Amino acid sequence: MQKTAGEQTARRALGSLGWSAIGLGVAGGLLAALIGTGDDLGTIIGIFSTRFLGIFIEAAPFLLLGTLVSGVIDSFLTPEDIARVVPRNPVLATIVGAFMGFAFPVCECGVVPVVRRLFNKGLPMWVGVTFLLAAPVMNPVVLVSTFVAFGATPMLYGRYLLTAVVAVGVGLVFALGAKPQEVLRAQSWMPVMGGSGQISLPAAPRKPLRAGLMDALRQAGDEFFEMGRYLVIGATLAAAMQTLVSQEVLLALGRGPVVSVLVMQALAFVLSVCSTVDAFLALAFVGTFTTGSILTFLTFGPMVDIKSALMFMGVFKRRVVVYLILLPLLMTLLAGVWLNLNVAF
Amino acid sequence: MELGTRTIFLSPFDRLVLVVALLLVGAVGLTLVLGDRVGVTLQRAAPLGQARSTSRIIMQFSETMNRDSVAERLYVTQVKPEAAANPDALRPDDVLAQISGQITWSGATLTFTPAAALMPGAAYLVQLEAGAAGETGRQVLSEYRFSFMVRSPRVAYLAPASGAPLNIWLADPADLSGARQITFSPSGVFDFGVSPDGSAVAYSERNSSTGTSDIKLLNLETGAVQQLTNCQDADCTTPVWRPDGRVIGYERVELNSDLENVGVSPTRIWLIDLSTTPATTRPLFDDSQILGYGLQWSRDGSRATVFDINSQGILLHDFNTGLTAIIPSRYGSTGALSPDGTKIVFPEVTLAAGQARSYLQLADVTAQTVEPLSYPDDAVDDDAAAWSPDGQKLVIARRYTDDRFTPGRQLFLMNPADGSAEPLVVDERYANGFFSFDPTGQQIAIQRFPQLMPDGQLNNTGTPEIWTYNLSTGALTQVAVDAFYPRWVP
Repeated sequence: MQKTAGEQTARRALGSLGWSAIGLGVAGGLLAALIGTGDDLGTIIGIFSTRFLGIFIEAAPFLLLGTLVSGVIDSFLTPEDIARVVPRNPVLATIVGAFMGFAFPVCECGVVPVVRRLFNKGLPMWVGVTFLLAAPVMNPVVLVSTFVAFGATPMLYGRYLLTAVVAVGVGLVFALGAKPQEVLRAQSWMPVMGGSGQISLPAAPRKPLRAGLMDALRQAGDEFFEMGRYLVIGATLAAAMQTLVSQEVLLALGRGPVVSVLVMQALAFVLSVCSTVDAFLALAFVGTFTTGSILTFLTFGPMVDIKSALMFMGVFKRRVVVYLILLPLLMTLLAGVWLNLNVAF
Repeated sequence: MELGTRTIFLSPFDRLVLVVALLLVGAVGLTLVLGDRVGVTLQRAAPLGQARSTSRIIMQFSETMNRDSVAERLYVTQVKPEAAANPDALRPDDVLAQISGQITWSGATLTFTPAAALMPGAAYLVQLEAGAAGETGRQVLSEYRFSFMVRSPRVAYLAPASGAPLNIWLADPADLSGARQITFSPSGVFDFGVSPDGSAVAYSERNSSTGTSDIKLLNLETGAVQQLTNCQDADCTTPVWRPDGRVIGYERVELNSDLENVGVSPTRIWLIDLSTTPATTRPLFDDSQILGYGLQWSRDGSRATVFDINSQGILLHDFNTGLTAIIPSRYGSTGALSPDGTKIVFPEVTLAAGQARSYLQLADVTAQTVEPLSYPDDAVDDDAAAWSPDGQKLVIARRYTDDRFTPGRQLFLMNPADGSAEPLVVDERYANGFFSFDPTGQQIAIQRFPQLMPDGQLNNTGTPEIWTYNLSTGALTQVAVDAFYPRWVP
């Protein structure tokens, strides 16, 4: 269909108007929430600052760790290594992806640079997606913290089982229907291998240890600042949500087999607590919230929260980021509601 | 897809995600349509198996409940012991009595407090019918039943009376061979109080290096000991539990050892709040000039009495109204506060024929009257009194001064309405003191001292003994020798 210059100008104008309206709506909503809190501006800024720093300081070391791992991968891991380890069968490959966190123990902040680097090294895209969603739970640190919080209870087994099922499920959806170039941003899939087989990477020799470490540190530094932008924006949004959306109100709503799951998903998304410590927070909800909803909190939160969703933007296309939020959200919602209505804990 | 004049292209992957998302939404909907197969569940129920006569029934639900719907469907009954073993096969003729009580809530947790103490040896069944609803409308889908037996109360006491260090012992009057020491303090226990539910003992222990005393808490279930006070230059003794078990009152004496020319301060009552972590302490009265000792609580914890040294009388404070009343007394004893907190029986001293004797008075706080229960002219020398748990009768320690004279005081059952008394435990060889009812009101624990030898001669080598007396059967049982300060452990 041919478009005239006038039509394009009008469309751009309409688009600008639409974005302005949305921006105004969001600003109005925030202002209303701000007034609704009943606190003065100084108090709100103080609370916001504390929460922002809390989230950022908690997440930054894990991001640094993730970028270091990413740098090491860049220097010492070759595409041949990936090809040797990852099965060619997509189903088996996604299952392997779900458990790769035990080899690369990173939480949801650190996993993003690691998975991007693995994409560069030729990790099949769907395996990377599975790893991205599963690794924040499927790693030894979170296993220990969940065990310490809940012991060897259904909450521990349930967290790992549900995480694996959701991550593999989402990974298979990507394996069945997506191509790397329509999922990943250019810097994540160039040079393309990503399991598509469309372009073959030239074989690169493994770097010597000293030079490799120097490269790894340089890469880590660059990547930390690149991904750090998303962390700052994500932490800002999370802190703003925590300041303006009353957690007491959310908790008061948290009754019933369905609403409790939705509320805990919302809490997990807003609070953006690192997966290494979220089990202890979840422990406080036992007895108040349904078991299914707590399990959802422990599963959905590490996969997707405000800050990690922002960091996904550095790897995936925007539409795919929406899918990466939507699919785990619906899968964990289904699991939580089903558990609440069908299983007596 | 056409949307106005703008075309939105959906790739095969977008369509796949859309289909998967719709399938997931459909699955959530189907799950909801299939309905609730679990409902509201009981997360925790207590007591199970064995209970104490003061045990409360606790039920923790999986969510906040509609209180009325639970109250309508909750039944607590005394049943035949064989029925308690298999509650699901309960028949109507297995039910012996319905138990009434008060229901309180804390979030999703229900607490049922029986109106009267549960009977030792009896079996009880708790039933919650299906249909009790949560606040969201979810229901309890199947009936819950659980049962328990009430064990006999035990007696705790201090021993050895003739040696050191003093420690707390615990004995079952029905099985004296099982008496055992439960504290192992090298410096000795001064006194103690048993928690209303019988799960813990608060005791005061001397610190041999500083000469001070602190209150400690012994968990009778786990044996764990926790220090509750840090009285660095004070004597903290005589723990008295508030009946809800959340607060312990104690007597605190400041030693003032770092102040020149300042002696030991008079006794004040302080509180330990166990509901905070860690436990916190504070004075009972904000006014530091109120001095007192001999704390007693009413059953609901809303009133307390102490002997006020400044005003030389019994001070009764109502925590609900904040009002305080003083009942003048020269004897120096707090007397006995009735369980409902409206009456105080206390001794008053009198001089007759050059000898000091005491008689009992009854103060009615509601009517604001003080009436004698025994008169100064009567040939009696009455001392301590203890109310039965239902507040209907009194046990008093009396010694007649006429031809019924005994060297030590004997126990009599008194009607507080008219002061009439009948003998309960009378044996001239013994002096009886420090007695208390068990929670059911069926038994009394007594500290007795053998004043006379069997041949009627004065016993110069005697040591105090612990006995129990069963008001129903009249059985008098010796629990321990060379021991004193008996307290019931429900």
